[in-house]
Amino acid sequence: MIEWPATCRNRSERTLKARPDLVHKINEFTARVIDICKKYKKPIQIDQNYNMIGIKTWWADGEELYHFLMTQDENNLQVIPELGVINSLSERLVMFKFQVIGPKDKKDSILVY
Amino acid sequence: MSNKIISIVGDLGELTPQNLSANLSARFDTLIVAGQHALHKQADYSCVNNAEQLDKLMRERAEKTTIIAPRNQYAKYVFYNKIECLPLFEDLDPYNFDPLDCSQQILALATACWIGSPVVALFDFMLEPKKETPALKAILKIYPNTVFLFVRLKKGNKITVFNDVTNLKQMDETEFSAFYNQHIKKK
Repeated sequence: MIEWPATCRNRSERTLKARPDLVHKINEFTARVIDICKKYKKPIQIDQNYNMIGIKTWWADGEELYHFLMTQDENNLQVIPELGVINSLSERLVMFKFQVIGPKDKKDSILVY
Repeated sequence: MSNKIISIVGDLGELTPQNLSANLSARFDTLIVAGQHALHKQADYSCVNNAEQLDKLMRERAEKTTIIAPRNQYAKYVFYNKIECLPLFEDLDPYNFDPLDCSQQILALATACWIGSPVVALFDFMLEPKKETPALKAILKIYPNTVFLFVRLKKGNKITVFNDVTNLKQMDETEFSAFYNQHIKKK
């Protein structure tokens, strides 16, 4: 989940109806996220449903997600450190927390637990 | 996922790529091996609960093999392909089954039973009276409607420890081939 810009977080749909400035900001932010996602080879699904916290994305490739998470600072994005993996055996979503612990050029810089 | 016959290769270490006959290899519909078994590169799945073996397997695995590991070990490789987290073994919950505290061959067997197939064949299975054989027999009893085949490469004396298990048949490789051919014909 990529968090909205600070001023847009936790805004109900009712609030947004009365605040076109925030809607504009949310749309701009979404467009920026889409542009960043377009740089990756495998398709990335962006959840179309409005969420008060941010944008939910679905990744097909683990390495690309890893790169995205490691470059969130330079892209000026903040990702909530939680990820869900769909288990291909059980088809269930398995949730993990993560923490960036090292430099981006290393392969094990994200601790998942 | 094929549900013809699931074959599991255990920890004994007698079966190797060198002595695996083409006849037998052709009859592995879905093959699950215990950890780093010599046949791991031919397997569809390799079940592992040893962190060191997991690291090795992730370096050496073949393209077709999916590694299956417990959640805490899998977490290290979340961003990698061809590795999955072990499913939750709901059927085994009442028996305090701990995927981290069993052998990798028992883990492979539990996975096969979780996937589900009317027939599960056990190859190269190590028997040991203290822990392994009781654990194996316990799982056989939990799945009374599954037919388990205990297959040895060569004909030998029947293992008496399975005398009280009604859903297990002991056979050698030739008998397994004949059983397989019959079973496939029935489908």
